[in-house]
Amino acid sequence: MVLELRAEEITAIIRQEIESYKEELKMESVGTVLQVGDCIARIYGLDQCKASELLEFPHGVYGIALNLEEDTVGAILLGDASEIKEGMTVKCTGQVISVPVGDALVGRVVNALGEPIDGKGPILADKRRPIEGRAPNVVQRQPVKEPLQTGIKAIDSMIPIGRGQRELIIGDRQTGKTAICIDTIINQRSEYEAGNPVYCIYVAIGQKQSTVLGVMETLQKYGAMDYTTIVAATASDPAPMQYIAPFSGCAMGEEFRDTGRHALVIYDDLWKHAVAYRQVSLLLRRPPGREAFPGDIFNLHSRLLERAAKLSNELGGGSLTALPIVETQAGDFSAYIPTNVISITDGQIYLESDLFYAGIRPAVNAGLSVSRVGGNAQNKAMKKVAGSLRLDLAQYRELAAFTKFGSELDKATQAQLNRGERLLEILKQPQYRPMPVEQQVSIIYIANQGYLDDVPVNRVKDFEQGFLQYLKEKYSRVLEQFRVSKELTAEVSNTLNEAVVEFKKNFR
Amino acid sequence: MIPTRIINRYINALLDIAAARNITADVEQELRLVHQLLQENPDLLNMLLHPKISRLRKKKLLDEVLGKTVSAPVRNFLHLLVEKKREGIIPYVGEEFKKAADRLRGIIHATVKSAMELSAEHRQKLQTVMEKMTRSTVRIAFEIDAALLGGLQVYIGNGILDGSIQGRLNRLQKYLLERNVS
Repeated sequence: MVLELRAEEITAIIRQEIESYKEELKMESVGTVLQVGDCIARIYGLDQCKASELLEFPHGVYGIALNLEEDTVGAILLGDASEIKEGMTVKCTGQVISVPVGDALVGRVVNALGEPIDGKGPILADKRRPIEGRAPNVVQRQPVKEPLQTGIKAIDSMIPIGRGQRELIIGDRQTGKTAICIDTIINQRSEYEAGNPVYCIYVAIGQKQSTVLGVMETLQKYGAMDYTTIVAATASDPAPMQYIAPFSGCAMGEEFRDTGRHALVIYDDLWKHAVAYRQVSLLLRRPPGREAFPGDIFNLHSRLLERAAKLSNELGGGSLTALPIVETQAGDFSAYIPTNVISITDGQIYLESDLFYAGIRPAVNAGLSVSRVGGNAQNKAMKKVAGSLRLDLAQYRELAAFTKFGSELDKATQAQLNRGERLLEILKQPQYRPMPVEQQVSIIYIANQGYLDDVPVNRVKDFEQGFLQYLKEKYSRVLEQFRVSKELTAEVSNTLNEAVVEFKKNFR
Repeated sequence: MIPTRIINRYINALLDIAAARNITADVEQELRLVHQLLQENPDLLNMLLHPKISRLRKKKLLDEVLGKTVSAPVRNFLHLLVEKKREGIIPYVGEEFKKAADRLRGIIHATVKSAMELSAEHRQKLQTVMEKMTRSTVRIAFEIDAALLGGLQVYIGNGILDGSIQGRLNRLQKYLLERNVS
């Protein structure tokens, strides 16, 4: 775009800007820094200061006033605090903190203030939005009804996520929490290509820089950065930046929601966010509560997650889906933050390390995971096949627990166990390989119908792959029809039955 | 850090008494005397602050040193501070009382910073303008700060009116940085 910039052009632009610059002299409220350290400043004066107002420090550093006391103000510093010294002058700005929003952010990596950190030049956004905003009220919303396809069979079938829903992903470290979110982002590629994109915002809070880089490279590799923004507040960023990062990401998502589009925001993870907020609160001398978290930690997360919504048709019908992640410590789901976020969200996906090491990946615990929006967020075909899948799996788990030791089983029990094993097998899915919903339904359908019962368990994966390939080659018309109508009509199921019989003849 | 919050509690109480008895000016004068005394005799202050000296002895000492020069309210005030173990704020009460008394009288303190010495004519003009603006008597302290380059900076209370060249340059810089020039 920029071919050559001549010096006189720059001078002309600057001259023009200076000429159009007007200023008014106005009384500004000021205070003095009494104490500064750990990204916290205590300021004397500032008697006009309002709660969560943006404060201007010298050297271009900004802060947010969090504590208003009798004659001091407690503020968090956003940016390099090393230049700030005791006795410096602080000004009120009369504004709250805002971030740039809109299409200019798509495909970028930004910090918690919306400043680019990917070296691709400035962000030319013409609109800004305060990071804290009111959630839509009852009248402005409508029930969640459209599915947000994750492309993961175990989730789309049993724990469906709808647009505008808040679904928690919870589990120990190294159980694939981030992997599920990345797959979900990659799966939105088809929506993007169909011209109805779901804009994704990945908020990394307290993650390693290398992890964030890894996520970015993966998304680039699968062409997912075309509709994704990464908001990074890494472990090396100060706690105040980690504290505001999810709010910034949410504000960016809200812009899409309020302009009638769809957005998905992933908070990775809220446990570290709570820890950052705990640090800030304790340094501001707010009283500690359970596990030393401040008293308003519940409100902090609930006001963040309440902003995820499906808007009414009068307001454009946009949606903002939230996928918060919470890391548990040694499987302790009853710790403070996990229970808080479980009670705020519309359901949760439990990931367990035992399942993960047993080779069941994604390691979703189907018994404990729920989606409170449920079937409303599934298309008709999926609803049909998922019902019996859930039931079969539940029966399998019950039987499997009983028959661990016994050897003599009656035929019906044996058949039930067989079916269960094969269902578990088809729910396994490799990473970065999200599956379109029509293929998911096809494979679950034939498994439900018992066509897999005579396939050896270790060959089920091969069978699935081969069969889907076969469908694509021979019955692409039916698949296409199925994709559009999203219904499991008699015609479609007959075709599937036919196809599987044909395929089995050649499968050895 | 001066513990202004604590000082103000005590000062306001003393000011209430002084105002009720119409002896504000006397109290102010006496507190200034106390302040002067402590500055000239650092040992006296050290004794007052010493934790091993009993409160009774400190009070006696105060009586002996000040004798009849201070009125009953000021004497009781100092005794109260000793009694409440707030001897540490005694060095600040003179200055703070003056500020509080001025506030009551409707006198505002302001600081004007300029890059170079202002002429008497300019000072007079500033005085009238600021008194008109605040609708009260203003006492201005003039300071010189070459870093301002030119113009004036006016500090009133917690407010600042920045008309200096340096301040305007800073604002222009910020404006230019915020513009999206493509």
